[in-house]
Amino acid sequence: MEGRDSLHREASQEPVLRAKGLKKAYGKTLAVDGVDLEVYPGEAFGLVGPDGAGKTTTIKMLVGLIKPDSGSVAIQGQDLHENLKAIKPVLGYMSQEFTLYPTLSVAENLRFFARAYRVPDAEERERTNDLLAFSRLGPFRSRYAGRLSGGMKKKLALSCALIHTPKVLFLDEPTTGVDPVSRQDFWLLLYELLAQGVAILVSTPYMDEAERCNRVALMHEGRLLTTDTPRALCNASTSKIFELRGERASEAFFRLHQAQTSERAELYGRKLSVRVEDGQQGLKEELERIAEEKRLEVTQVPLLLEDRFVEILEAKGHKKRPMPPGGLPFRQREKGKPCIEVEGLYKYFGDFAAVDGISFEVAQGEVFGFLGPNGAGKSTTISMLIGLLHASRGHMNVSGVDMLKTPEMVKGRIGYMSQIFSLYGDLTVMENIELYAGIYGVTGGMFQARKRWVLGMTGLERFERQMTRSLSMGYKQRLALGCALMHDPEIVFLDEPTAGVDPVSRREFFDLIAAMAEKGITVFVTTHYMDEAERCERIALMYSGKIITMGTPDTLKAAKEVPKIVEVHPEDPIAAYNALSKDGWEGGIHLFGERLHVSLDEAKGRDEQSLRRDLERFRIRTIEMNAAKPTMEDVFVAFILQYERAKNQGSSETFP
Amino acid sequence: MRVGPFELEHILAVANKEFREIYRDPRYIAFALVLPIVLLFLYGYAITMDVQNLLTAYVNFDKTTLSARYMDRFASSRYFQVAKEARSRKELEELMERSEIRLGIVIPADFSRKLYGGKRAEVEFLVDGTWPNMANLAIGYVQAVNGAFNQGMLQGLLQRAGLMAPKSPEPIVVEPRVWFNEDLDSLNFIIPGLYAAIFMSFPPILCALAIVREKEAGSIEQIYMSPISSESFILGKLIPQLTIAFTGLVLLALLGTFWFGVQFKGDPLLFFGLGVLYLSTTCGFGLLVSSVTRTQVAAMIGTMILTMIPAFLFSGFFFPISNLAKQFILYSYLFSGRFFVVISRGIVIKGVHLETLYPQVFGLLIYAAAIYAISFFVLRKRL
Amino acid sequence: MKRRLVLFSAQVYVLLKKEMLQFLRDKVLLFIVLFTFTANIVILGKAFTLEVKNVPTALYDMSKTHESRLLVEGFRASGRFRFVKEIDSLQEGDRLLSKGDISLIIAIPADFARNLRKGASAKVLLSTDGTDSNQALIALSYAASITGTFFTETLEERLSLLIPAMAKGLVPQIEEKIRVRYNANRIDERYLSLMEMCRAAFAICVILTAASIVREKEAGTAAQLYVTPISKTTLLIGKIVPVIAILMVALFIGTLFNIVFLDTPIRGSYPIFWALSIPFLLFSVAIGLLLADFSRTFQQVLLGAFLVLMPIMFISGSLVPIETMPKVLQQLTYFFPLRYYLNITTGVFFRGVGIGSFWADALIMTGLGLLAFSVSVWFFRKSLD
Repeated sequence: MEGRDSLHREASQEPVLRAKGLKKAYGKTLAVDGVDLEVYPGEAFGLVGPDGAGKTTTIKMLVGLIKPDSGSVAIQGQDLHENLKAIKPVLGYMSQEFTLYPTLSVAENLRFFARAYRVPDAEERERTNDLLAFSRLGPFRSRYAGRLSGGMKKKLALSCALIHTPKVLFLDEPTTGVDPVSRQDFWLLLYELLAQGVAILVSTPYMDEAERCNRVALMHEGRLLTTDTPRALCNASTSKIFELRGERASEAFFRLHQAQTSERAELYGRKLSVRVEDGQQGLKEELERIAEEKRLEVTQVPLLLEDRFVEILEAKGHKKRPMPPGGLPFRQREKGKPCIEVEGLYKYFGDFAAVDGISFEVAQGEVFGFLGPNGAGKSTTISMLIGLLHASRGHMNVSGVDMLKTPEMVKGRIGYMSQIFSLYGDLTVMENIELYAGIYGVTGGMFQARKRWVLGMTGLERFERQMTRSLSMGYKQRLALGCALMHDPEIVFLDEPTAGVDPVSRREFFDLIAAMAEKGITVFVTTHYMDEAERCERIALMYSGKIITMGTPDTLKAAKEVPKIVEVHPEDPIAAYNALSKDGWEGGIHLFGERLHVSLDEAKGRDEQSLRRDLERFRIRTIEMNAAKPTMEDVFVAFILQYERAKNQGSSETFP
Repeated sequence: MRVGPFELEHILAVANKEFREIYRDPRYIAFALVLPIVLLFLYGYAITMDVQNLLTAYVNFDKTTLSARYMDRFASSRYFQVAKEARSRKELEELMERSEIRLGIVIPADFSRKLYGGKRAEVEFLVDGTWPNMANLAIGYVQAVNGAFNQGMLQGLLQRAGLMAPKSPEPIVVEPRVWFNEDLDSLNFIIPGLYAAIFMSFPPILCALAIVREKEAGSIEQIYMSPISSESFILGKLIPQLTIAFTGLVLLALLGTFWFGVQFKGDPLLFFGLGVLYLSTTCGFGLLVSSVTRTQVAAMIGTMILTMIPAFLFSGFFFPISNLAKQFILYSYLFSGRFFVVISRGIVIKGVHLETLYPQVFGLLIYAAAIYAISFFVLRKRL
Repeated sequence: MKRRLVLFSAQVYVLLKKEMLQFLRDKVLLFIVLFTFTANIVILGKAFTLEVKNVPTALYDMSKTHESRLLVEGFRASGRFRFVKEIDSLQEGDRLLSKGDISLIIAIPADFARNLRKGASAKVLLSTDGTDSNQALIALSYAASITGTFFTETLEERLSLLIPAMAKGLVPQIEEKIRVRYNANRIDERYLSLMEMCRAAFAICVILTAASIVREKEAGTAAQLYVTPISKTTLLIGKIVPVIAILMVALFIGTLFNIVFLDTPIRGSYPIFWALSIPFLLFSVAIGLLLADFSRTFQQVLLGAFLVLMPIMFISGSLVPIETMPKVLQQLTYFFPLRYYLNITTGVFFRGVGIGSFWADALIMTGLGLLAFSVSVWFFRKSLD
């Protein structure tokens, strides 16, 4: 374990948390099936997996909220369940839905937890001030917790969990639904804790977030598939990823699909990414042939953690299912003409502008991504586009229907899948299909064909009579999509369709989206997964009611607003982090396991040269240093910060 | 400072937090304080159990001064409101079918002839039996009027026959002496009953919601993780609930006394003291419900079904416990309301002291001990 | 036109099927509905007796004569009074009274028989606990009629001794012939059950309607339905028809339980009652729809239902007779169909009257039902605004 060794040079260091053979069953379902793990002081340990993998149950057993059926947990060498009372003050815990008391102010929430942990008054004052400064919540001391933004709530929750200076911190999906800037802030808070030697166990559904951890455990169906540093995990792979770039990437994708070799191919807009196992010479040659024919540029790209996860799942027999043969039973539509036109659209709730004058256009057959944190106005916008909400003012034309005049007209032409699973859980698979077919008036042969297609696409052929609520997330989402497509709509609106779904199912889902786009159906999709954004042909970033930027993923990444990122691999990352982030590089340093990501910012005089100079100045010995590609998250953060700066300048100009 | 699993510092921290939350939630205040007042007014005004002005119509086939004098007895009584003279029996029956009258009187044509002839005259009374309560009262009143009239006639007869001095007093006098509620105003009965009945359902619902809300939101996990014991947590939660409920009781008692004019005959301090005991039993009931439910909706439906109907039917508020069928008398002990109905009426109307109420007080104490013991047991098992 | 009809009937069919399946699969809801219309009804019919009898009474007989014993016998024979104790002082009686052990003291003074014989006023003292004014009044009026009868009987006896010509039965007297209509043995607790059935129909109808809509809002399926081209009318038909159908079945079951377990009579036409339940339920559905419009969560529905239903049920004459309430409240009841529905129900079950005597009620009720329904449909939006 290269990472840990470099982190904890004293070999004598004992794990602060040690779990052995944890098992927990709810009725007949085994939620957690034999989990062993160790976490060391100053380490960020990532528990990664989809919803239902058993992450939450595991964490609850680790903190003593649930008693395991078998197995043991030891904290600092003491058995947790026998010494629960004594150990409690050492633990910090932030549940997934950590709810602060919404009608208590920021300070009152902190005070309540301080009293709960019997923090002495003087220490409480000091600690509160520290935490408020640290989380930049100082100006909001007396604001009710219920009126904070999602990101601020999470930071306050973390502060509450830290009021008693715990030694081991458990975070259950702390950044889900949080805007990227707050997420970065949140991680900056965690780095400080790591630097103080706190052990952190964090669960997340996001693979890119997991790369920030020192070690990662991939969790699936109650088991840990593997545990190691992210880099070691990727290095253990027996495959390589090839990227085929060019205008005709999707043609290549469907070529592979026809050849029944599409299960390892992923379409990302104008890029096709194919995983080729080391022995698969045939596939490699075929790719080169196709690339030449479609005039695509082939490059090998680094394998990501998610690719590795999918590879391991595949080895366990959980393969991506190929799409049903015969394609979609829908008519082919002509692509290219505009099908959503929005101009100067506003939506007010009272005085609050949830959507604050946005304009955009989407073409028929396009996969259009709509990104933004919770509360940015994404869902409100979608609701207006599909006629669920009336716009306050503006112009909005969807599929040739003027949505401000005759919103009902659009309803036969669109499909919609909301962010929460929205089929009837107490109806069977077949009853749900029949219900939507009946509502849309799909009958006779057309109904038979589409029903067959939905069952084939979802893989539910033999489960027609199963209650929908008993299906796993992946099945549910595909069934919901099938029902939303029952009437062959021109546009499909997908509101966070893959939240909480396992990576294999997510990939299947995006294959379907590619197939829909191929038929000329417009796909309008919102997502929290930054890597998914790259699957869209174009994306719009929404923030506080406005679209702050729009374009193809590649153009956005290359935009001048996006800082260059340098990846540094120092010998002692914590020491390097401490030195740099305290002197000249505040807020620009991110820990990714044993590596640092340093954002350059010419305006602040942070260029590559000054970085090298400072590294030398602090006597930080580096093993490696090279330029890294910005992620979609970096892009998002850059544009939000720029927007905030512009807004603040604007206001200071008006009020000098 | 700590006593067993209870830690003062923690209890105060939780109570303090809870008070702030309540104070900032207008809906809570509405439910906890305004609704009971609304109910007090609704019930106070609507339930008048004294049947007065019983809607009455009659047919008089006799049409003599004697029959007119007889009907006067009804007309002058405050219990009857003679609304109409019908022309035929059929009309009388139609009036009753349309629910326009509750009592019909048919005076036969031979009424005065028979009476003057020293015979028995039969008067027919049609009573609407739809409302058994009302029908019972109507029959009682009718019998009382007839008894008095008969006595008067007999007396007249005896005087005429010289068997009785002309101005001699009535031969037999029933001297009713009504205790406690001297003017037999049902308001005196209803209002103190409401003090008990209303607080049989509101505090449990609010208590159950307060606890289940934290379960549903997940913040209870944070509490479990902290050194706060679940006993301290629950006590800290209950104190504000109890305070609010007590405020409600005081408000209702003030309104009952000064608005409805139902004065305390007994010691208000004793009433409020025992009121705290009673409220802690009903809060305990909410606690018990909260220990077995997970969602606010379930807690709410559960407490409503369990407490609303018994509050009014099995507590002795509406029907006397002695009118309950045997198997249901046992059932009525499941709710502490039956004790406080007696206590409240005892203190307010009768002005009794503690020594008279000891069975009820004893009952409340046992009830409180049982319900808290069970709740804490269930709660501990569930963690 | 024909295509639209086909589409409409297909939509209605799938919606009805969906609602019914969901209702039948929701075991908790199903249980609550069944319980309310079965066990609940029987319990209310069996748990209470409304008759005033067995009034716990203490006797203080200072006279201890033949006459006083005769009088006491009169009380005993009536079956209304239960003699708990013979006491030796009024103080003792007062103590028992305030403890609540007894509700009535019958005190017969020492000079009772003497006064009676010489034609002076013979007094009987009745001390009663007035706390429950209702019970007290009934007990007092019974006592009055018992002493009255006692007096006439003794007088008759004395007269017949003095004047043999005045044989028994020749004293002029009014004899009341009381005929209780509709509820022949007037001490009838069945009305409680019948009223409960109507109240339950009202409350459950409101809550089922509101719940079926709000739960879809909570689950997010509402949005999914609202983005389909289904029309508002079709959607509402799909929501309302199942609720009314469920309640019609529930009312039928409730009636069966009333008849089988409580011997409730049906003196009028049951089909009329059943048919007139529809406009009543329509009104209830409308209240449910309005409630759903203003609620986002099921919890708000329950709170709202509580606030709206309690007063309506209370003042509409299911717990206390309308005419005993203050005028303002009485006038308020005209706006709630429950008032008319209760009158129709007692009319059909107890009074055995035909449509002729409640056609006005039926008409107003239907009018109110349709009005409320139109308002609620107008308020209903296929959107989330």
